[in-house]
This record gives sequence, C-alpha cells and structure tokens, in this order.
Amino acid sequence: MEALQWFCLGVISMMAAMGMVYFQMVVKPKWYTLPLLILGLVLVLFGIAWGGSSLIEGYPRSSALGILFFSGPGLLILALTWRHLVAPGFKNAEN
Amino acid sequence: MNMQDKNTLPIQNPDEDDLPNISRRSFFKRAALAGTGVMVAGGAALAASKASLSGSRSKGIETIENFKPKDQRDVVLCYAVSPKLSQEVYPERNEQYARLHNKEFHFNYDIQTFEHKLPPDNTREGYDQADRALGHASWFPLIAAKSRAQAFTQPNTPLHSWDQSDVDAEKYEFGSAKRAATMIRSAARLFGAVRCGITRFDKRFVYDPMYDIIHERELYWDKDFPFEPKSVIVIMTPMDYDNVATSPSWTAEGATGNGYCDMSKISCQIAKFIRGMGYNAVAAGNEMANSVAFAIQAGLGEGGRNSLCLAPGLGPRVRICKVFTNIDFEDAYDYPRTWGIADFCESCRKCAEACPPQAISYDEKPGFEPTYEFADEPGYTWNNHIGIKKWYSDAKKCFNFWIENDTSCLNCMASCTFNEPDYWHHWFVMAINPAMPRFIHYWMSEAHPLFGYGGQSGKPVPGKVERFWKSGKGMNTNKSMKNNIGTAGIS
Repeated sequence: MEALQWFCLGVISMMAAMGMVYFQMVVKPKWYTLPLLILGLVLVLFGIAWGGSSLIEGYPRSSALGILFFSGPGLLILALTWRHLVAPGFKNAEN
Repeated sequence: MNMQDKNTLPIQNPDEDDLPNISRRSFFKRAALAGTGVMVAGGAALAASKASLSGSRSKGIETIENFKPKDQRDVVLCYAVSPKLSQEVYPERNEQYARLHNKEFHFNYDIQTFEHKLPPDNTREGYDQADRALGHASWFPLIAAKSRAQAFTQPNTPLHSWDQSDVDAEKYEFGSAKRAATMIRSAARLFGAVRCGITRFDKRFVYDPMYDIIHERELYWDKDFPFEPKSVIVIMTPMDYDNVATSPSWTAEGATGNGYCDMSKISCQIAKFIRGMGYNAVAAGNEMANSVAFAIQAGLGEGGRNSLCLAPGLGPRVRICKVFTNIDFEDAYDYPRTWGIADFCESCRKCAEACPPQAISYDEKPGFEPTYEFADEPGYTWNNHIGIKKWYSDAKKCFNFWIENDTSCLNCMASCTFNEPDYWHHWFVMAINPAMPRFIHYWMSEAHPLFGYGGQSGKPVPGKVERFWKSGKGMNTNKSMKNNIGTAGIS
C-alpha cells in the first residue's frame, strides 16, 4: 500500500511539474504565481501522503484531519491562484 | 526541414488549441530541468531531515556544585520492597505520606500483594482474566531466572551477576576504539536493541552506596564491585506501541514485563560477549545507576517532563539497561545531544495531564529541586536526587497509583507527544521539531490527541485494548512490505 501511495504521489508530482512548465511557457505569470502554485501543490500532496500513511497505520482520524489541515489550505491556495492569476493569464495568452 | 523548423514544431494540432504553440524541444528541456529541481529539492529535504535527526551536541545533564551520587535506599522501589528500610530504618516515610495524603498507605505492606490483589473483572475492558494473564506471562522469564528483583533495583541477580570468573584470559584486539564500539553496537542490535550508546562511567549518576535488598546490606563500588568500570554501554529496548496505548489497563503490563525481560536478556548477553573477549563486564537493569541519566549522557535522547529519556522516533516508549565495563573507548564515546525535545516539553503538558495521581510537574521550565505538592515538608522529597536540572516528579504518588491500580502505569509514556507509531510522517514531525517556534510546539502537542494518538486518562482509552488484542491478526503472513516491529501491528 505504501509503495503504491508513493508511486502515485510521484506521478502526480511529475505531471504537476510539467503543467507548471507549460503554464510558464505560454503565460507570462507574475513572480509570485509559481511559488503559490508550488506551495498549494506541496500542501495538497503532503496531506494526501499523511492521510494515506495514517490510514495504513490504522488511525483514520489522523488521516481525515491530516487531509483537512494540510490538503485543505493547499486546495484553497491552488483554487485562488488559479482563479485570480492562472486563468486570466491563459485568457490573455489566447488574445 | 531545417533545424529552425524542428525547434518550432507545434506541440499539438493548432486547430484544436487556441493557446500559443510552444516548441516540443524547449518544453521537454524545461520539464527535465523542473524534474531535476524537484529531485534536488527532495534530496535536500531528506538530507536536512537526516541532519536534524542526528541532533546537535548539547552540554548534557546540568548538576549543582558538590553534587553527590544517590543513595539507592532512597529509590522508591528499593525502599518499598525492603522490609528493613520500610519498617525499621525509615518508618516515618510511610507515616508522613499517609498523613499528608490522608489515606491508609504503607510502601512495604501494600507491595506484598502487588498484581495479585484485585480479581479480574471480565466485564471491564483491560482488566479481565486475559489482561491479567498477559501481564503475569510477560514477566515470567525473569521470574524463572530468579532475576525479577532487578526491576526493584536489586543488584547482582543471576542474569546480572557480578561474577567475573568467565572473563577470557586472552584480551581480544579490537584494532581501534571505534571498531570496538561498533562491534558492541552490532551485537546489541543482533540481540534486539533499538538504540545503543556508549558513555564514560560517571560517578555522579550511579547509586552509591548500592543496596542489596535480599541480604539487606549496603554495597560499595570501591569495596564490593569486582572491577573499576571505565565505560557504560547504554541500551534501549523497544516497547509495543499498541500495548503501551492501553495504559493504565492491566493489558499494558505486557509491554512493561516484556521490556524488562528484553533489558535483562540483551544486557546479560552483551556483558557475556564482552567477558568472552577478555574484558570485565556487568549487566544492569534498573539497579546500580540512574538509567535515564546515562542514556542522556550517551546521546540516546533528552530528559522530558515525565522524567523519562525521550528518544527521537520512539519517545519514552523504551526500556533502558546498562552494561558496566572496563573497556576504554577513547575517542569513540558518544556525547549528549539535543533534538529540541526538552524545549518542546516546556510547551507540552500532555504527560502531566494524563497522570492519574498527578505526580508529574506542570512547571514551565525544569529546575534543580522539586516544586510539587508538599515538597517543602521536611523529609518529603527523600526519593528525589536533588541538584539535577530536570522536571521533578513525585514518584511516591506514582507508586501509590500502581498499588491502587494493581499494576504499573504507562500513561506518561503513552500520552507523550513523542510516542508515535513508526511511520514517515511522525519522523518528519520529529525532524522539523528543532526549527519550530514555541506556539507551533503547543499546537503540535494539542494536535497529538486530536489526531487520535495518546489521550490517556485514569481509564483506558476506549477501543485501545481491543485494538491491541487484534494487532496480531494476519500474522501468518505480511503483505505490507514492511516489518513493523515494535510499532502498530495492523496493516
């Protein structure tokens, strides 16, 4: 289970890294856009990793709260960054 | 097609994508760079974590000037099991404790029925026949070896014999002190140790005089001990996470008794190993010296609020034993280290809150003398080794609860924020701990029970006893690709 969890997290990380490279090439983002995306992504992945490991060790409450406390703020940062910085950037790039 | 065209090939069909096209080559180049960056960042984080888990050098235990070794007769367990000490030499200690706490209590009379006083209650989780049988079974090897008394600080028991007649005539040439230390650590690992450190023999932390409870007489290092020790090998043995979590139930006695058996087994094996190489060695469990002090000096952990040695990755969930030897490890001695654990304890009071008799200090900072209730009563702090900078617990109250509970208690161990299962996220928290500010320490200590760990009180945490009794499920095989030895068993 743990091996599968780390493999999936690796795939997600690599896809996210490639997505960010693509984003940076087609959009001229503000200097703080990429750090915010990275921070959000790291928090989301950390929460998933925490949650998965807590489930494996048999502590579902730790799993749920880990996802809530770590992935939650990460998702919020990603959503706000996407809405206010990434999406407008793509829109401008289309024009 | 020339090179310029190749570099500007569209990454996708331009008809389906309104975004500007980027060159495939440039994209993969940058993606490779980003991937390398992620791996370097991961490697740096791992290296930083490893460096943090190594700890940094500390000054070790602080003591006042003219600090004297502790008289073993002042150790609560020694005093309680010795009829002479309890009834003849210091009878006033019983009277004072009973008077101040307004209860009928006698250290020696009450220990006579310890762990046999109350009948099992099969309707009560953690106090039924199986729980009682587990506790008794866990101690059985030591009882069979006539060596359980070492737990009550009796020196020179059969497993921890002072006899040196089997020291080999030929001294083994280690080659170097470092190789000697590594060989002994390797043997300790083989025999079941989870940590092993080596420190110099320090007279401050031994019991002097020692006390032979069976023969009711004092023993002196210079007169009675068979050789002049130069070094102390300090060994930690792991305790089962799930079993400890059942504290203060009778079930938790399983981890205690088993821990003592491991201590005796490993330390006597190491002592025999050393004697077989031509050097003197004597194994010890609770007897002869303060195990926590030597573990701290050997760099195995830090002294916590609960008066235990807290080791990174294990917390207080260990038992400590020692081997005294005349091997000189020269430049291979370990040194005291810090991982920010004692700093953390200043913000965390989980052990104190979980202690059923409230024997643990709530003071923010450690001090050089006890501050607990009745500490200013003349003679009441007889059991404390005053002059060490630490948090002072009232071990008399702790022992009193053992008697009332009819088994020992591991609440301060189980509730400790550093007592975690053996998974990466707990190690991660340990690694970042030294860099965390005080308010984060406080938050971490609050998050520990909130997340479902610890949370002990006067009664066993509901479900923990049953969780332990299920922890052996599926032990015929292991599908987890990990041997969770000494940690949570369910996977």
